[in-house]
Amino acid sequence: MKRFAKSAFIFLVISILTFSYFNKVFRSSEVYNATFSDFEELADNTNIDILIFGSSHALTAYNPLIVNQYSKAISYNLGSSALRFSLTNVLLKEALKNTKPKLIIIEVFENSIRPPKSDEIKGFQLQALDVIPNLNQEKLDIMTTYYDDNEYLGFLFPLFRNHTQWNEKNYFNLDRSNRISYNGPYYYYNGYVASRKSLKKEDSIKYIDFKTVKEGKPVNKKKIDEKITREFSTLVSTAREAGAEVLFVSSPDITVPYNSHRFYEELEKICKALNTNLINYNDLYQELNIGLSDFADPTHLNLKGGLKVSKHLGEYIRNNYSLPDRSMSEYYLISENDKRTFFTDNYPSKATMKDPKHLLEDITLSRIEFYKDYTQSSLKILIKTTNPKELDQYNLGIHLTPTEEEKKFLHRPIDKERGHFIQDIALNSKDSIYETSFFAATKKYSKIRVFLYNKKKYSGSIGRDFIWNDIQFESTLSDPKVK
Amino acid sequence: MLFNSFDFAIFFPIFFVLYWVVHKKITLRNVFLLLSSYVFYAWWDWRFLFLIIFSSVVDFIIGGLIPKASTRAKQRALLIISLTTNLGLLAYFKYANFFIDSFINSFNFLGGSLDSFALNIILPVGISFYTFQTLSYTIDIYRGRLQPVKEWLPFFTFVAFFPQLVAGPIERASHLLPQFYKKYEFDYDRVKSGLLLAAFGLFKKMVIADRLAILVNQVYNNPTDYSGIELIIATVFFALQIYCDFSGYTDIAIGISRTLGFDLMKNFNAPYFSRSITEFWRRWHISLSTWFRDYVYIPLGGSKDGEYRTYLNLFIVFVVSGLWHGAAVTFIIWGAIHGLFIVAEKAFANHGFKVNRTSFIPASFFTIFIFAIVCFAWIFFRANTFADSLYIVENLFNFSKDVKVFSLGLATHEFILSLVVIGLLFIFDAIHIKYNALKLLNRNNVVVRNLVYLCIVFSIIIFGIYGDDSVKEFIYFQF
Repeated sequence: MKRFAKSAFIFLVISILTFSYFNKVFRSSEVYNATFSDFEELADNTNIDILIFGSSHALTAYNPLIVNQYSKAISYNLGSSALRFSLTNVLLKEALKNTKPKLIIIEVFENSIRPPKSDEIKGFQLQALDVIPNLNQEKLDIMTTYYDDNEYLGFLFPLFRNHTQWNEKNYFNLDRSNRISYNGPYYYYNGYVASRKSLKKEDSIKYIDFKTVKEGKPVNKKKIDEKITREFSTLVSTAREAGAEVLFVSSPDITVPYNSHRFYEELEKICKALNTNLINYNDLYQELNIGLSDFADPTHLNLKGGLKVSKHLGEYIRNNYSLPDRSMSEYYLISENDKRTFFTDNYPSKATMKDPKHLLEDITLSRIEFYKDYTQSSLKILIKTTNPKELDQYNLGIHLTPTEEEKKFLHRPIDKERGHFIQDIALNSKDSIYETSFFAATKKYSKIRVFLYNKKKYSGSIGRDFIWNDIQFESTLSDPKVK
Repeated sequence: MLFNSFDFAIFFPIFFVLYWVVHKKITLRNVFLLLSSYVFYAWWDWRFLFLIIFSSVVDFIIGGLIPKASTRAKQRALLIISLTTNLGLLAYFKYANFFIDSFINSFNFLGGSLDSFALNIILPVGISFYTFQTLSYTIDIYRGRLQPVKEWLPFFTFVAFFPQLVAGPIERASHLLPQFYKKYEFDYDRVKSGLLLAAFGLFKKMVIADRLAILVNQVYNNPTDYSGIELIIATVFFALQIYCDFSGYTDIAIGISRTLGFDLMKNFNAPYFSRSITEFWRRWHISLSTWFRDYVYIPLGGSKDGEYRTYLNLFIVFVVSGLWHGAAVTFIIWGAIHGLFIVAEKAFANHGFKVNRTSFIPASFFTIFIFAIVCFAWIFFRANTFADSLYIVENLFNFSKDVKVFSLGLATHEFILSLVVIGLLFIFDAIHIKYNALKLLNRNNVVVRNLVYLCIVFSIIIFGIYGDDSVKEFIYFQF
């Protein structure tokens, strides 16, 4: 018996180690893994004053970069897709192990207080719950409350959950952070994941008058029950015990005026009873000038809409809470660069070359304006000449060389080597301004070469090429304060 | 409770530790075994526990009365009571609807007019197995080959012994019952080999059988959508599925019993390496085929009453065997096909057509030939209806449609994995026939052995199919 016990023990230990390895192999590749590991890393380096929790409505709305700018504090967005309110407390406690925030922002919407029913929604909860250790009692409570007996193993161990994906997993690289691609349809910053998309045409029509509150009886769903009310209270207690205040928010959701009035009325009562503030962004459409173009879909803001609510949130925090001013801190100063990149990469921006250059004796490249939006770029080139007829002989060629960093977004080796060419811009004696728009996988260029070549037959460039090296973009957003 | 369930993964370690705590006192151990077996069975449906208890009570009493009966006629009457009770229960739960349906169809065929109806009867899991097991007890006592037991506890434990309760092997009282009177000491090597065998059984069930079941179910549940190669693949996969499913269960049963000190009989011996149907039945479901030999074939006269009577007896045994598997025409046809081939083999052999099946080329040919015949018979066994089985047979060699091998429920990588594990299984069986695989493993050092154990365990976890109820149950549970 002793021999068996000894062998069984050794085998058990080896099995647990192997299991642990495979459990890491079979973790899902999720954005939230990156969100939480980035949060831990940031929390190691600086104190995070504001933590934002909630569902995808939170993670697509509140941009820490902008919230930081207006609140002068440091914030982090820990929102997770479809996260149910009941899970927030356990996530908050886990986050509190890493940092001591002064303000906890919790996004709530009608469905977030309902228990997860469908497999899809249950699955979404695991994205956030995977960062919580299995021995956490509250996590186990969630498991027994919301999951069936036959789901327990999958709930606790990704190996059981994802074992059918054995052919897709990388068995050596165990990083399962699904980092948002710079060039993809989403933007990521400190947990904030925003879409660059716009509302579909049919939704734009359907919700055309979303700002108008319909008269009549709203479609009521269930009331906020006692259990959830207690969870609100528990959450506020957890935050206050950790020395933080709580601010509840509801993100813009254009389906709201039709079906969730009662929920927000009750939410207001709960917040009042708990002596916490509530911002319902669905009541601030006029004030923030939120329009249909600010939505990626009817329930989520896009990058443009996120800017508006984030700015408001930052200002609200600055005006209503006494948070430390971190604007001179090292992290804050470093993030200035992130901010500049954010605006120039994601919002309309412009770079200008103003010094005239001679391409030929009589032909001068007077000015280049390079406009860049997320989806499209355009170049406006001003050509001056004393002999307009000479222009009829030439085409203008433009050669854009991406920065080394950007070359990774090009797939073909030849593109990496040659960059992007725009040809056949035919000059003529009547025009002096030439515009060309283009789509390119790359957005940052180390060099732009402008040259003339013979319209009839290409036999190399003619005259002097113009090389523009120092291309500095500036955001063209109309609100100067946001810059 | 299923061996491949989370419940059993919790149940068995607790049971195992407690079993070895109480093992020194035989009565206490048997009480613990009996209660655990009842818990194991009641996990599925506690109401049917009374059926096992009832069957145990009847056969224990009758078994005790038979030797005391003053005349052979009275002994026979007692045996008839036992047979009637046990087979009556089996007939009611398993065959009532089949007989009602057959009667109505026959009546209507002869010009009558009866509306079809079915009784709402749940088939108790394992009833065919424990019924045959208890019957062997009373029949052997009647034949004077076995003395009845005086204590009820070992007998009740013998009937309900959980490792083999629901799907065999169908043990004889003469082999298993005495083991409940023995005292066992914890034997490290036995426990280790038992656990390894059980793990291998689980591998066969969860990695091979359940994976193949996905494709088999897809094709056999919609046979008219497929033809040719697809039907052939599904049929061959079913042959391997049922082997891995059933032999996997048996391996787990034997393995678990071994860890407790008990020995169960061998039930499979690489059946697809058989070179004749006769040999196949010496290697496939051995406990059932020997049961039918001893309790049906021999009482029918066996081979004593001449050549043609022997053929008839053999044929009857296989038809009954088909009916034992399930109350449907398709099972009877399956049994009849095997019966016909056995009879043909016997007839050829009796009339001097001896074939050399031992040298490599004929052996390989006959192995493939017998496998093809067995697969053909499996079509009737697996088909959901008789009409389906006819369609499959008719379209087996219809290659006019486009073949979509990777659209049969298994993605490309899963299909390739299936072929790999099937290949590994055949290699393992081929090695195991010649050399005992466990002995081979034990010749290696501790590192290699542990690596093999780890590979089996993690192969089950990673490559196993679980969570899908449609393939989770062992096929033989329905019998």
